[in-house]
Amino acid sequence: MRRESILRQDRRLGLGPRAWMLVGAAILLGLLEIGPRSGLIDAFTLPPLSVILPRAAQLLVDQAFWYRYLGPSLLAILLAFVIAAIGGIAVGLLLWRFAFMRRIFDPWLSIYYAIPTFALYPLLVVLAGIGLVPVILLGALLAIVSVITTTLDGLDSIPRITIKLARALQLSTMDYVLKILIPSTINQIVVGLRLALSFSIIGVMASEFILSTYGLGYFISYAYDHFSLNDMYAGIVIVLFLAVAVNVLFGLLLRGRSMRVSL
Amino acid sequence: MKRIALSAPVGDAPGAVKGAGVPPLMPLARALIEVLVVLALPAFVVVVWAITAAVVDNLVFPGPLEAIRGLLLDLGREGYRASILTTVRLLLLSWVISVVGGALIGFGLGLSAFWSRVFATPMFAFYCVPLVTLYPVFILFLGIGEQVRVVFAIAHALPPMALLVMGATVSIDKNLLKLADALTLPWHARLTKIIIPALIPTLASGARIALGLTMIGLILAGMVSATSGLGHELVNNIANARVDRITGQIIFIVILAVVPGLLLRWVEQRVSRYQ
Repeated sequence: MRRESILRQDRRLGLGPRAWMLVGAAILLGLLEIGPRSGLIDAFTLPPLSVILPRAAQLLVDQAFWYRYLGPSLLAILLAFVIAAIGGIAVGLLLWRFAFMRRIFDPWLSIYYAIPTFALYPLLVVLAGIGLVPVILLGALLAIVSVITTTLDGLDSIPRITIKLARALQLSTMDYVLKILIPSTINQIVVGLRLALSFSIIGVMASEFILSTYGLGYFISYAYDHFSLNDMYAGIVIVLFLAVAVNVLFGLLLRGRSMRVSL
Repeated sequence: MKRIALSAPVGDAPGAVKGAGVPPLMPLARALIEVLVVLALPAFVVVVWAITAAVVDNLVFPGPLEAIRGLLLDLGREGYRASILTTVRLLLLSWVISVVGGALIGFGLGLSAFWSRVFATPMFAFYCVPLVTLYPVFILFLGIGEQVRVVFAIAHALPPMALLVMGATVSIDKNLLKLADALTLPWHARLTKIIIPALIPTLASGARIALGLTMIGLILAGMVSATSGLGHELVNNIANARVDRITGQIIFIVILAVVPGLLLRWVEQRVSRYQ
């Protein structure tokens, strides 16, 4: 409590951490507007923000843009996330239950993100055809490991007495999982889900950008190839907004949970 | 640490020590078992892959043998060998810059709890952004060449490295710092005797993570715009629909990423145990 109040009072030049973050964001946005207008940055290479933002707004109200680009991307992100969430929790539970499996998977879980998963895209296309499926699979492949590892961390931290109690109550496997294991690990799982959502966005955008023929990633790649830089930057702004908004929403959710826990 | 046998049977007698009375394994035998454990999963994947390939059309879905044959064909080309060298060279360069730069930035910010709080959120947000969609911006500003690929790879690896080191620096045991104060250690002794040793496990784990992210950045950059490198070779084979060679290249890229990753993991475990 005392530490928190000290941190709250901690200021530099009269500003707290959050105010400094806002100042930093304002300086960055100011540079993105003034730089190209003043000739400091070539306006063709980077159009002013006042040109990019209206174009992004135009795209967001365009039905064709939703149908061909934004809609498929959002659907792919959602499905990749759901697969990663359900699959990640299930695999986490299995690895926790069977120690020998965990021993085999452990080294690979820790270096999983060293494997450039995007390289698998052509194979996934061969297996699943051109369409949403390989994009969704790639997004899910990138996201699932963060859920597995946080689920394992959560399960490892359940007090032994809780597990003994569950055994003493002779719960069925389903009750044991749904009433004891998952509620006890929900905080860690939510952290994993936050990462998984970010990784789903990254996986879907990357596969669309590299090889797909629709989706928001493809829209940016196509605009770049055809020198439509306003469209390209507008697409990038939408992606950045999506990624940041998702993070902020999850951050708020996490804060809400921790406040409920502390109450 | 956290793994303390919670996945072990709950009914164990309290205080029972697993393996008590069993003679300890020779270091060589233990190392051999470790290697076998690591290889078990890839072996299983190869078996499933071979069975799947035998069931479906081999032209569309090549088996492990066809993939190896495709890889050997590629390795026979001088252009492919040059691409491997290019990728390895750029990987090492980007990795070293990411690790050193990320460690210095993270350490600098971590010295102040205030500035680490200011920078933590934007750095984490940057890490969560799909950087590949920003790649055209990198090209517009830096042109097409090796430089842009290195910068792009660093953009993938440096922020998480800095975040990790920043977090570790902020949370260094304050008692150790008080001890340094009590001993009136000069700043260089404080740095070399207390701060850096306390950060070594984080540096090792950051170096491992940075290697993977650097590799991902380089392959992605190579797939989008490059005239050499493994990403470029992969896209070439995709364009020519040579499925056996694509699969062979994927195996090669995975080996290139996994072997140093496992070695760095081993170093990380040794360092953490020492700590």
